Amino acid sequence: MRRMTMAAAGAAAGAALLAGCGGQAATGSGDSPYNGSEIEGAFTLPSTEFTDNKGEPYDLKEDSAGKYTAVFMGFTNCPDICPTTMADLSQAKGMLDESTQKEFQTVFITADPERDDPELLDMWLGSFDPSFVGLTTNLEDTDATADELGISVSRPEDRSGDYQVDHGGQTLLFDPEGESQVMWSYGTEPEKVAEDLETVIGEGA
Amino acid sequence: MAARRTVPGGRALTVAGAAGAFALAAITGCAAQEPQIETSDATVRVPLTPDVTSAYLTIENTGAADDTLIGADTAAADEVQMHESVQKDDGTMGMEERDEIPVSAGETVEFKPGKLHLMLMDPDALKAGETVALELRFAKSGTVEVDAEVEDVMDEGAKGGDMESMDDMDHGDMDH
Repeated sequence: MRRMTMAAAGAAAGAALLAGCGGQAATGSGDSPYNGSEIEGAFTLPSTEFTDNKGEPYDLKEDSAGKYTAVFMGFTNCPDICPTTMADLSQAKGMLDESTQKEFQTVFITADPERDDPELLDMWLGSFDPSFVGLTTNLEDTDATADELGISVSRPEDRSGDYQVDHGGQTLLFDPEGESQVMWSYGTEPEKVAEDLETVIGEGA
Repeated sequence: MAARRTVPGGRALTVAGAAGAFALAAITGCAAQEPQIETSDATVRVPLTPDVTSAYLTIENTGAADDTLIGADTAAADEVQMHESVQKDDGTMGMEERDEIPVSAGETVEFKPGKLHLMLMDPDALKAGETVALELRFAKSGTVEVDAEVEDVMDEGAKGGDMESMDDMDHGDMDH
């Protein structure tokens, strides 16, 4: 399966390159200039204080400033959706030009701060890309942040056993000023995310 | 789709002993109406936390009768649950546990990222390239053993994409 899958991925990446994966393919047609949804200015990163996966304070707005930041909310005990999304984002990043990569970062905010401490986030994110930033804070600020970003989060009342957290599956891209630009729904292929990143970051440069 | 016949290495094609007997019965002209379960592409994700990981595979019922997957087990984890990731109208992703998954005659059921998956609770510290024996329990076919390859999440490639979007990619058609 792996061989078949990798071959398919390679073919897909090749097709994307042939189709001009430099930001031109998607312009000039359709409502959105992106593969994802255009959400320019719909959301703003709040100035909320988190602790990052290295145990350092991280202000979501201040410390994300100057970079294009992809934000996803999930939890490490999520076996399916969250790892798939993080792997896709890591693959998308790998498809970018080196200069574009430097302007881009991925931030994972845990929707399950009672279980996800910095250490666990660091171990989990290390499986995808050591440069990914993991953030945790108290429940109240977590939910307030989710609200600000239009990402729904719901936890069971009883959180004693192996509980699951329902959460929005979307990934939001913010510009260096903290204004939202693009939203990708769950399952958007890495090639399409990479194409959008080249478009957005190319325009902003 | 006949992907199971073209998997390289011939590793993935697994036929239950019982189902093999049914196949033989079919060849010899016996008209028994029985399900026949075949599996392919079984993988287990390298656990990213000690608490949980997921497994994926394709189950095909090539027999003449319906069957139902009623559970799964493995020595490599404390418990195996069957879950389906579901997206609600507001875009929220959640998981629902499934007790029974019908595999009707002639049908193929895919466990894949973002859809159905097996959830391995408290898995062993599995490493990429190892093999995990999964036991699938069917209402009629009984226990079907499947060898699943442990795979790093970063090696899964474009598995998460559905076939429709893969077709898009093949044609380099990016408009949406």
